[in-house]
Amino acid sequence: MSPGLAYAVVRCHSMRADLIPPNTFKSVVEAVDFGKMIEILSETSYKDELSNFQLRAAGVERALNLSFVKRLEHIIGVSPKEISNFLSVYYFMGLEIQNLKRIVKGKYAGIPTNQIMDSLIPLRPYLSVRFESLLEAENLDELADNLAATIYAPVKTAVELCREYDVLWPIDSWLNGIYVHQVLEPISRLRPDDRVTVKEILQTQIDVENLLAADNWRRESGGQVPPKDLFPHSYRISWDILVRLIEGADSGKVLQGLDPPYDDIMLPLLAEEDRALVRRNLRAYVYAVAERSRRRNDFGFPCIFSLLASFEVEKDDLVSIAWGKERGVQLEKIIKYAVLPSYSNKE
Amino acid sequence: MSVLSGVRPTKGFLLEMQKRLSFIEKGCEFLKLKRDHLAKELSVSLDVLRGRRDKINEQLKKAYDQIVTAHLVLGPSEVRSESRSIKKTYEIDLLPKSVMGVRYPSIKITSRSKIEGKLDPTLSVTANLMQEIFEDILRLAEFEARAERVADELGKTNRKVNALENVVLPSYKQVIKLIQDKLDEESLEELVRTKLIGGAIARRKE
Repeated sequence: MSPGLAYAVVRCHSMRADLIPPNTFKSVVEAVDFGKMIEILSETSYKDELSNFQLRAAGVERALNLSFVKRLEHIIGVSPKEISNFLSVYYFMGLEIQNLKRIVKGKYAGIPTNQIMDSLIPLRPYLSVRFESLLEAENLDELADNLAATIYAPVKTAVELCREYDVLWPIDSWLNGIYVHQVLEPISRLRPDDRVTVKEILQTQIDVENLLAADNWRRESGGQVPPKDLFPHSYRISWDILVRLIEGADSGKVLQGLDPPYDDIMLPLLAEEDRALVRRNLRAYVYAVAERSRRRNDFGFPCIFSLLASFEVEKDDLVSIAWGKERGVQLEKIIKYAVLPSYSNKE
Repeated sequence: MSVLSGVRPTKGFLLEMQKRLSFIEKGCEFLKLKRDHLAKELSVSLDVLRGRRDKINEQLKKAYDQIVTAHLVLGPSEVRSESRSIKKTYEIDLLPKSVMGVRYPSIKITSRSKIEGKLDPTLSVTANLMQEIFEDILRLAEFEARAERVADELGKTNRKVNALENVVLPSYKQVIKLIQDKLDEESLEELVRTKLIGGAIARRKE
């Protein structure tokens, strides 16, 4: 273990105290209303960020995103180079791509620039992408041209496909592909077992996105098989499986016949056509894999990775809970779609 | 103006009044037919409206549930960003239509938003459902406007039929009877007068 890694691990162990304790989390989930929830959250490590934003669910989301980015920057700052390189790509590029997707959608629909700007995650550009110049683009083609000199250049092809088939999701698909391609590069410098963990997570994420997109395409196109270009990357879920799912005759059988972990993740789609629960299962899966790897080795990369996975899941859960509380959503429903409360229940 | 004003107890006027009475009776019959048809139409419309409202309420509950779910899983800003990727291309035309002479606005959707392939799978089904609901609400609005106007017309027709049956027709009948009585009286007076004159002439000859 290098001294750099040892320091990062110690820092991560101490930063675990920033995670909301299970009892406090339970109080947050069970808070009678949004105001009470904020009151409880204001006594946690999110206190500073929450004080800077309007106390509405959207404000909470921005505050939590900001807090996550700060924590991420801090961990990256103390991690050894090979791990910090990976974390930067894995998290910052992930967030950047999320912003890019929002810009693409806004530009496609002709939404005013200030509205697109408001929906972006507060983040400095990770790569050579200037959000400002992208926001100035008149249309999707100009936006793709602005990305030509960056690693996102293949978006141009995706834009052409989108125009040809009058759909928008291939851009998401291509951006996901670019993301995986970029993350795989720094992964090669991680230890073999850590590499396996991260690859497993990434590939599962892409495969599940492909399965959801294929199911959606089946529903919307009536079983017409699209060109393979619309699904540029697939891993353990092959193109043949996707085609069988799209053709629809035995889509139930296809979903039933998936290997673990896909069978469990996709189960809600088969049982109750609940796509949202599929996404929740995917988040829970990422969290579970990160935690499992930490249990195997709590003094190396898995310790850092699982801490960030926990921060991310906690942030996403708190955003949903805040929105749910603001809108008076039933507690059972909030719990059903959150990752951490259901995990603590299982435990 | 009352029917009784300007009554002239003449044979010609009686024939004119009888002609008018027959015309009004026919009109009243037609109005009764229209009233029955409108009542039937309204009764059917109300049943359909009730059914459609229940269906829309059910669908809205389902859609709201799905929207809540999407917000819980994707987060509010992602849902907002996704929903913005739909171009606003809904266009409708309002055309006048008529049932039993009752005009109502008919809604024709000339272009709808294309949502296929534009949204995250979590939101796509919900968006389709919302689009269905939106179109159902438009159809419901059209149907409600139609039912409202049919009900309005039914009320008017009913009032017209009642006015004809209870006021106009009895007064016409009363006038006709009055004229007939007057004419009968005049004809009897004429007969008596003729007989008296005939008797006087006969007495003078004697």
